[in-house]
Amino acid sequence: MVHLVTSDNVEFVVDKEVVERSVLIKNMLEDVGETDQSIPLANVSSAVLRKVIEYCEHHRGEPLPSADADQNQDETRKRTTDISEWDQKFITVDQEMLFEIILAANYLDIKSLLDVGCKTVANMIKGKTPDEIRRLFNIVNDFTPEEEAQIKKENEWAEDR
Amino acid sequence: MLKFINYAPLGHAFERLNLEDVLGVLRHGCGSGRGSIPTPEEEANVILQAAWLDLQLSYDPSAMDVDVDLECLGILEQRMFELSLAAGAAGNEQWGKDAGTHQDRWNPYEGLPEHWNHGDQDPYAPEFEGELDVHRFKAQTAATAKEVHISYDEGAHTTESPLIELGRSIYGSRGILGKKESEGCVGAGPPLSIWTATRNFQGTSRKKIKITANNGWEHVFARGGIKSRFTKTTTVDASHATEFLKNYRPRARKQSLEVLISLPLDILFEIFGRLLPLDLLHLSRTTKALRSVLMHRSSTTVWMAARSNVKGMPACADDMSEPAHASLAFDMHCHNCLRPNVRNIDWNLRVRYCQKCFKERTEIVDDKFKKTYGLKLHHCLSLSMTQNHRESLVDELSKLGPEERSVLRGLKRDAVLVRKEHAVLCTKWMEGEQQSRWKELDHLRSLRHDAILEKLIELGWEEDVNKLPDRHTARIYKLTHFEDLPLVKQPKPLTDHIWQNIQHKMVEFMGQMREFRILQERKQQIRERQSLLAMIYIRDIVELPAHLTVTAEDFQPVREELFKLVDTWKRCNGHDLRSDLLWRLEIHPPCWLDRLSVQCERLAVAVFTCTGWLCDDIPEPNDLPRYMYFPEYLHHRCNRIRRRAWNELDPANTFAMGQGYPGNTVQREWSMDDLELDKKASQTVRKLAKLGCFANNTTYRVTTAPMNYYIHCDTTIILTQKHVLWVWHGCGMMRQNPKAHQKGNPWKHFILPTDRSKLDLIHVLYQ
Repeated sequence: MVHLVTSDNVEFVVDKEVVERSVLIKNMLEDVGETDQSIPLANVSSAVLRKVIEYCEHHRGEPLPSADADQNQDETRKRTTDISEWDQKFITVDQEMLFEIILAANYLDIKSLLDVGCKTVANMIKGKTPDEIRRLFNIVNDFTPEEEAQIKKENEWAEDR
Repeated sequence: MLKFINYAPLGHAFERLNLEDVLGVLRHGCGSGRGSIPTPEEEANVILQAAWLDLQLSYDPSAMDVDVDLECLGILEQRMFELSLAAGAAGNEQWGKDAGTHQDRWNPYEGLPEHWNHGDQDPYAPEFEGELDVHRFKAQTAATAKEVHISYDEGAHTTESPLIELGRSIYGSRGILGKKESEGCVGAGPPLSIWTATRNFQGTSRKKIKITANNGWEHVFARGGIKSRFTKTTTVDASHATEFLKNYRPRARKQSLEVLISLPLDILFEIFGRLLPLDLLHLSRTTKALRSVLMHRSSTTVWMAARSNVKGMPACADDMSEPAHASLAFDMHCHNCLRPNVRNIDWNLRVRYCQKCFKERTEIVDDKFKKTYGLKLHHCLSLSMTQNHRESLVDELSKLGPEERSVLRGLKRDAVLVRKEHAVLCTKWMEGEQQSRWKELDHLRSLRHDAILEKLIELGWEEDVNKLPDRHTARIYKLTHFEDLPLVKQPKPLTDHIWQNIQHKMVEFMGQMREFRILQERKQQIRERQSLLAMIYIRDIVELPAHLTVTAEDFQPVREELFKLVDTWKRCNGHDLRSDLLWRLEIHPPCWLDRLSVQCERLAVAVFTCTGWLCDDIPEPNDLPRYMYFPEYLHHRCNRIRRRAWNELDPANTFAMGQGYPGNTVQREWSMDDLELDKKASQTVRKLAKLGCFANNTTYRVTTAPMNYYIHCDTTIILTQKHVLWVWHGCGMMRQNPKAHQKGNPWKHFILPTDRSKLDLIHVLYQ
């Protein structure tokens, strides 16, 4: 059992097998060895960690992508933006939580979760017009209409212009 | 009744008392002030003050359940949303569906008074946040909360309703103004505080509530919930409301770009790497910040990754930037005038222009160019070029010396070759994409088509579905072919929702098709019966056993029948023709005379010309028409054939004509509609007839000074035993001495039918 303490001081006790999906914690445990001390996760709040653990629990026992397999997988992984049904349900959260999960997955180094998060965001953006993207992420349009027309024609690298 | 009347004096007494009170106050107030008689103005002021005081003291506001502002807002909300909703799309249009930026970025709140803006509005709060929360709230409470229905009992209503009304109108104002505030943020206008409500609760304590888009719900929940307009009156147990309020956390404010740009760049790139190049282009046009990230050379990897997500897309050329490459391949607008939906890409020139811009901005490197700039330059260019390109090239060359020029030319030639190579790759890829896209679309269309047919069959249109007109028939009858229906040919899969929307239109169409089918079937039936009728007479012969030989004798009974048929037909048509001719020739027999008794000779003078243009010798357009005399106009072929209409079905409705007839003609019922009576010619013939030149092969002398004419009549036709008719098929005319002609000089024949001038001559002669 591993003790994790979140940024808002909530302690989680999690199965080692579950928590080791996080490469960060796995390495940490390998370095420190068996310990009863809790691991502080300063970048993760309890709400987010609860979700992350839910994910790890569900995918418990699945083989971790190894470092060299990663390279080969990279191509196919990027191509497809399909997400399994459970993951899709899992990731159906509000935008704020989604981005926090992505950040946590990145911090804890959980490749597959990061993948799911990125795919979800990518799917949100895909096929949308600039205006729709702005509305999706509540981004304010800081281009004037003239600029907007102009940038449609400017497609060179900024430094070449 | 008595009781009621008794109250009247009492009421009067009270009134008097009140008046005394008021006047007392008046006298007292004014007397202490100045000790003089009050002016009417002062009197009015004091009365008003006294009335106001009285009203404040004696009226319990908590019992007041009418608030004009709230009511108005409620009505406005109802009109804007519920009635609009009921009106469907039209309703939304009418009130302006406020999603997104207004046309030309019009900010409707620009120039509003400053005091309307309280600066407490989060401009980026999501649209309809409140509504979403209401669903959440309802879901949470539905499981546990008891709905308390308040009856329209007087007492209960007066105590509860202010809260409910308030809640309702907050809901309303949130609904209306929640939209407004989102516009404010898009249109970069000042955030707008929506409404300040002042209510006096509990009579004595006055509390000012400021309701904004963000805190509105808290106030609503704190005060007990929402009045739904659909159930009578609903409120929620107070404990549940407070419980919800405890858990209720207003959504965190979302700052612009916070969500996306604040992510570490590696995550951002991880996300972007899964997009398609077009998505990256769109992202780069959302904000300046994202643009600066994506249009920097350092993000080349992202663009490459995005490109690799497109199957088979060729790599970017070395002398081209990734975004430019992506834009050329995927941006569907003209690169010059930004006109949308332009598919015309020239990979050699690396431009995507609409046709107009293409014409304006490119030119073909032709002989003229060769002459102006020389052959050498001509060779190092592709077939066409943009104007800018040409100008810059010529400028560049004119600055250089001869050797440098040749170097530059060499470079240009190489560049053109590389471009060409890349262009070939890209064009091929594009074509492949197009093909597969078409295939995909076709597949989707056919799926939709089949699905719609299936649905129609389910609805019981099977027979009509199977007998839908084919393309040929549809074209002839100017119908829309099923596959060409806009609702059918869309490359969108048919969902239940779509089917719900299009069902009535499809059923309507099928109704039309059924009508058409029934009409066609009826026509077919009649045609079959007609041919059956024709068959009646010869059926016995046609259906003789195969081993028997059909001989002419077999037709004998049919022939006898045939005469009868023809006779009947003749009688009918003869009668019609007779009265028609009488009218046309302006022969008016006395009314007591039977029309049939009018001699045929008198009618036979009619001369017709054909306007049917189906005759053998179709005249040139400027030719004079050919005259037709009796009896030719009866058996003229145009009377029984007609040209087949271009849209007529194959096989034709009637027997096709055999050899010798113009192609494309079919038989028709006998009619002289295509013939036109030539009045002048008819008059001439009538005169000739009067002259008496009826006998066969006789010559009649016509004397007119100074010349003698002889008319020779060739042919006589005996129609019936009773009537003898003469025809001037070969009518000759001779001048002077007929004897001279008899000596070897033949009659100078002229054929009347073809020669109008001669006929005119005769006409003149016998004036």
